[in-house]
Amino acid sequence: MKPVTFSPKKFLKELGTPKRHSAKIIWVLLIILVIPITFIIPEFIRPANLANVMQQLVPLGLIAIGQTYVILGGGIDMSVGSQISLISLIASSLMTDSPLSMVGVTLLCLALGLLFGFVNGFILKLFPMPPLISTLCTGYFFQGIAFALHKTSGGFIPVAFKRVLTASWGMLSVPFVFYLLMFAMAWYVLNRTRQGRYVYALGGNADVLEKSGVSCAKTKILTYMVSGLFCAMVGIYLAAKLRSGSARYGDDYTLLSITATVVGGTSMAGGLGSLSGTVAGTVLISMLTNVLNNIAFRYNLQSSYYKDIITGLLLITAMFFYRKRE
Amino acid sequence: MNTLQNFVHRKTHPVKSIRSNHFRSVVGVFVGFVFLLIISYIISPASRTTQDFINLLKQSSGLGLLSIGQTMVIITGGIDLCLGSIVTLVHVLTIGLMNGDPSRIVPVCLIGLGVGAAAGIFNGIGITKARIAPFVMTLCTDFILRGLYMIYTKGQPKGVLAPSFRALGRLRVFGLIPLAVIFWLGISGLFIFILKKTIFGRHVHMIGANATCSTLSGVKNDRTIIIIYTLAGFLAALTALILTMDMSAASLNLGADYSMDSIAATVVGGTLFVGGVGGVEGTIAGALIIRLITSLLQKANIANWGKLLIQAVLILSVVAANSRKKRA
Repeated sequence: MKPVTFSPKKFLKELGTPKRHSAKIIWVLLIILVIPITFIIPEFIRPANLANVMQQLVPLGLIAIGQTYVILGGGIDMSVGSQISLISLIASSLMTDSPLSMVGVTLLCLALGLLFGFVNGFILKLFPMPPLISTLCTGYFFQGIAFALHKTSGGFIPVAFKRVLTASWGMLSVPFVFYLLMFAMAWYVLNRTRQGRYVYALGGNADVLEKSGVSCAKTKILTYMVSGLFCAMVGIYLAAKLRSGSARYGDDYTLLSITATVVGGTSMAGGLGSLSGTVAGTVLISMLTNVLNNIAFRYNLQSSYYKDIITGLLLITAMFFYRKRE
Repeated sequence: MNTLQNFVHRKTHPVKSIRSNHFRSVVGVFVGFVFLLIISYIISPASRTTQDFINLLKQSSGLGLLSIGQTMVIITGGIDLCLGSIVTLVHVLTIGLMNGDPSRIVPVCLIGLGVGAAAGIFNGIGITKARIAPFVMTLCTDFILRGLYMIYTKGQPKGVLAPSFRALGRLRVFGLIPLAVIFWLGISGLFIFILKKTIFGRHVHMIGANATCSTLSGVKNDRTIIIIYTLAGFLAALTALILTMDMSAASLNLGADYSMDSIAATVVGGTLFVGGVGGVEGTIAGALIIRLITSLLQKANIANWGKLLIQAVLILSVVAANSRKKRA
């Protein structure tokens, strides 16, 4: 086995020409960023705030894992936001107080998430069109259904369900532990199983994959189903957290998940990138959001307006930074 | 690849066959529009008046104008997802800056058009010089512009239009045709001419059909693409001004649907996502069809969600049909 060495010179060279394992760069950037942030906003490193950040990054983190699968496979999922909204509404309108219904509705929602992902993939299997267009359209379709379901109130989620999903002990909370668990599973599947290799191969060179006797269409459908499953989890979690569903919960997550994935070093062309980079991207975005909220609170500004601008600029910068790689 | 074989064994000239296909699809779109119009007349006999048809034209004019830019962008193989935000930004800027003062009409309009063009240049530079995929770049711009107009209005748009500016919105040429329709059809005609008969138009089609080939033929791809996105931004700003003429107060939702509507109008009008095929003439009918469907849904009182469902299915089926055609 090769010994792991770290030389600053080599690192600087890598910074100039980011290569395959560029997740390292974003992690280093993250650690460097923490220093000025603690100077400007001392509250940032308080345990209570850190626990808050760790809980807030969970929805984006889960969605970004699914988005990474899809983008690694050479696709893109523009429908994640609408899927989240739709699932949150379905969960809130069906759930009742009995434990049986809680479990049943959760399972139903997860199955629906898989179904949505399957639809996305299956349309691409039937018709060779750009994934951008097809998922944009299915996204509008899901959004339409969500608007139709969202009549007057956002439904109802029992208190017990919320308590279970948002319980926390000090720094650790149920959603964060769940996120770590999901990340470990997704990482294992992507890096240690055959299916994971197929995903990389699908984005890298689909022709070769097809000629090696693996069904491209099946692999592609699976990546979209992974994305759909994570959307369903986040939809249920958001509905439980706010105890109602809404057709607007998922709005920001489409761009945010793409940003987290791309900032983490995954190439939009597919086949290049890693899940640990995506985690770094997620942490970066959540950290910036938290800092922004703190600053906005101090100066009495509306942080969500600035958040949009910063997300957009961050994605443009990341794309610009990684452009040389292709 | 066997592209060369296809090229040699094809019975008709490839460029000609694509062009005649496109001509057929444009005729098909207009026939489709007439068909839909007849259906709507059967459903609601009350709408069988000239005034109602003029209203339909007027409702379509904003979308049609905006979709000219989208059509050119899609012909080059890109997509522009920030047009709706440009419309809203220019709209709130116009009303906010004008604030009822007639002497400010001209400078405010120029500022609005400048803002639209600047957003377009920003897109174009990001796409060509930084090599960012068009949809990512324009989606980012969309978010940035959304942040900007929310900061400018603080969530509550203010201001009023100058009375003489609003009078322009009520103006009817020959006592019948609104100014907006004249603008729409005139500018559409101009761009049909530019795309079909000028060298610039040829370049736009060439970049969409084969970017490498066009570079090798001496076309300045980057410059052409920047011009296209700038024009798209400029036309979006013009659309915003024309829509603003009719408004009594500023609205933050004005542009919300326009990005998707313009994509739908363009695709229904026979412009292909693969690039290099399409034109503004089909988009005119595309805009009419989209607005007719919207008004039918409004009559059925399901406009807010029914529109999303129908447009999604419409775009998907048109693109799916074309994708099969392309493959064969």
